[in-house]
Amino acid sequence: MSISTEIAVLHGINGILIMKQARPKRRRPESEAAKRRIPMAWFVMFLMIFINFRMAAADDLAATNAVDLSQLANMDISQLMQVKVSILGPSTSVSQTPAAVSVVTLDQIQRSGAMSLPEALRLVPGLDVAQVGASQWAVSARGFNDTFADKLLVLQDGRDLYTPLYSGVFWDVSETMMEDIDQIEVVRGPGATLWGANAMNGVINVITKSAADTQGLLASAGGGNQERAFASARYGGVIGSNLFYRVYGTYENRDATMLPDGSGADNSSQMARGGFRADWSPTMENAIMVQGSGYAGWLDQVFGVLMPPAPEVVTNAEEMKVSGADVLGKWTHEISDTANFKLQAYYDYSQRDAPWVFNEQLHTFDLDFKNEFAVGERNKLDWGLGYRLTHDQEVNTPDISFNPDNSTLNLYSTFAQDDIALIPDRLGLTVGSKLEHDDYTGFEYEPGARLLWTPTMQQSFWASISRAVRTPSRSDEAISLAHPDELPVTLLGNTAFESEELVAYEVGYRSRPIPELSVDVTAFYNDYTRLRSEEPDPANPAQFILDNNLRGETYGCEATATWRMTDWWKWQPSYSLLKADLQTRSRTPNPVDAATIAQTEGTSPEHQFSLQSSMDLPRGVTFDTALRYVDQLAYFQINSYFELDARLAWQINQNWQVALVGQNLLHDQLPEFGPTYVNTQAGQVTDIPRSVYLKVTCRF
Amino acid sequence: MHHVKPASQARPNSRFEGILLLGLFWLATANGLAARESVPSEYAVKAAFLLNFGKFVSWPENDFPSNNAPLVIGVVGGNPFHDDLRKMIAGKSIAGRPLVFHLFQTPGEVRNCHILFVSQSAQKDAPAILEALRGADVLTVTENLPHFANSGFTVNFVTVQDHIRFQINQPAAGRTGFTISSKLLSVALRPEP
Repeated sequence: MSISTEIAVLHGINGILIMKQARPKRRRPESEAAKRRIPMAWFVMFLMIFINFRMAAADDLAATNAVDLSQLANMDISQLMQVKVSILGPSTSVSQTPAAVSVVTLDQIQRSGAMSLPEALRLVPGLDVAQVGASQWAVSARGFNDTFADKLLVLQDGRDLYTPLYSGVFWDVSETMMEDIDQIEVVRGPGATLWGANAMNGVINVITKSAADTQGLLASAGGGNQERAFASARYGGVIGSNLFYRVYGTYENRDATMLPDGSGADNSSQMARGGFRADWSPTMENAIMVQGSGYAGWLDQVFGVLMPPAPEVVTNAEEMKVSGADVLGKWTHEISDTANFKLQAYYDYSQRDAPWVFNEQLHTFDLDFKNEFAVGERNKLDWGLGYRLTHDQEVNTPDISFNPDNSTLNLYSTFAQDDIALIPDRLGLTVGSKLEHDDYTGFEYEPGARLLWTPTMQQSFWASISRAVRTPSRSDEAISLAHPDELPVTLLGNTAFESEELVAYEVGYRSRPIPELSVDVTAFYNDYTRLRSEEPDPANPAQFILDNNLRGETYGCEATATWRMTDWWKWQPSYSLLKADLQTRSRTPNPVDAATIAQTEGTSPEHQFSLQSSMDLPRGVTFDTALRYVDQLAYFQINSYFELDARLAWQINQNWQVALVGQNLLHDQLPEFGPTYVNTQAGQVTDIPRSVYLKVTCRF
Repeated sequence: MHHVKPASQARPNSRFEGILLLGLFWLATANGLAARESVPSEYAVKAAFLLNFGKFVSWPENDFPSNNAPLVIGVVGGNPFHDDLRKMIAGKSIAGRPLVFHLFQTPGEVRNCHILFVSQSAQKDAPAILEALRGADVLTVTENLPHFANSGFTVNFVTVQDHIRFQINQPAAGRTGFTISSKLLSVALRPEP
């Protein structure tokens, strides 16, 4: 898949040209009132800092009541025997988070046979994960799925994996050593109050293990028909007694997916990656983490390209080179048992180079401060400040160009959130808001309120209302995209493009009636306004301009259960329902809007069902299967289907493990998703073939 | 002009009123606070016990590669301590030996430590763990282990009326090369036969 495909996803035009009265484009004036109130915001913030330190001092006085870690560490045995403890572990109580949260652990990831992050995300109930090509994926939550899905925020250890180019994720380069992952936390629904713009339909947070937990040598290698060859190695050690480190390297070679006639789709890929992480706790109160990684990849692709003056589209196959590097540092300081702060900085560089179509270099620098403290018994306050600088440089081509071809963007943000125990252990309220300033739309605020009721230890109810926005991407503002279509048309960005807006209403219920069974049900109603549309340019019938002319609603529910049937056999069924209804706000409905609506509504399945089974058999053998049902995708004319993944693994002894994995076992080849533009070879729906691979892992 | 928000002038007002209201509400709830004793988690206390066990056990010199080699506290079966144990031992030493935390992924690796905590979820792997430890001088610590007296593990945490206590399996301790101080033995509970 080419970059032109990627950008073209800014919605297919289908070659329909409609004249329409021009609307005056106007930059939204920054509110004078809002400008005057900035000092007010700073005042509130400084007040919070002041109160924080006042409370930290008060905490010291109150420490005679609270038993903190350092006190415990200094107690002798007879004192320890006098300490009363709380035994309310997570094994008997339900989760206390008032949001649709799922956690996937490393054990689950490994037992699924997932070789990439999107594959691991298939385990999350309610997420929509579809494979597009060898290393291209479409991942979304609660609708709007696309290879360029732009309503999901993805982070790894606090580093944003999304690209400001289209507010989405290049999944083909967003990988890490799978064995390093501690867990993946997924929030369905807005996380904007904490995470800001683009955390619109969900947040995915990939958290890697501390270097202290990855000591020793680990190496794995294997191959199969699709995962042609892969290898990874990691070594973890310790310097002195408390500076832990690890270094790792990975290589992957993936075969192309299939065209419907059974021939290869020319989208195979190779990727090499290396990195390190160090964790140092010089004292009990301080923890310092530094990590970095670099990668280089070669992604084959086929696409249609315009080479003026020839008017027709030329099909071209070539190799896109991708590379990048990042380094991140984080300092966590515990002020007291109930107060801490985190200071984090990272720099990230990436380059994608497809000579005839697209070439981008992107630099991101990000600084983030978070402070958390308890105010008495009932309030836990979080607040933070953030700054991000992004600079991109594009090389304009006849297919894709940006005007201007480079940009430097600043994002300032702050948030505050209070967790209030209205009735301790029974009723909790979380209120907060993010406030951001970006260079395109100025100030954005994203407030949310969440209520959690825990009538008994075994069940909880929650409800929330929140507002989220998706701020404009570089493409929304500045792209000029030649559609390699039957008719040469151009899609233009719009400097008056506004933020897409969402108000989301959610309710949820969790129950653990018996220790072996837990149930989690969520329902949501999302009300979107100012969604992206394409409007015909009255001055030039061969041009379309991006605008905010769509609105609509989505609603649905997600249900999942975990049942430990026996000590050695666990089941996890999940179901999700999604309904979408979009409308145009144009007074004169036009076929372009209708096409965009049909696309948005038709690229996410209405029903999804999955059933996972995990068995611990004797002699270190485990057997895992996952059956999934995905409803039809009308826009791509993809029918509903069942698919099955399975993994059989044998832990031979303490050092060696061998695993046999089969993916998409029920069909020789099957389409899961399609490209969101038309008429080139790469524009065809490609089929995902059955994949079988063998993996050997050793630890010393 | 639908894209011009008529409410854009009004919203900032309500936003800052909202923040002020929130602040007032917060102060109101913050001040009506009753002091209530905060209770540490089960595992924070168990971590402190593990730290203490190191002081009451003496290992043969040849269990350490060098004079100042670290004393390793290992955990197998997931990490129920989260960060508590690691934080507690950070910067600490016993008899000149720095303390090091190590999380083991599989039962087979557990030999390389001096104190091993076997969490409840690792109990099903007990035979494999004991097999891996055969002949090694590792103080094994389990929790709520059924039939502890006949298990081959050395120490077992039990919970007695919201307090953490521990049992010591003296026959198992006698088969290893380390010695447990009589002080520790005197405060341990007797395992049920």
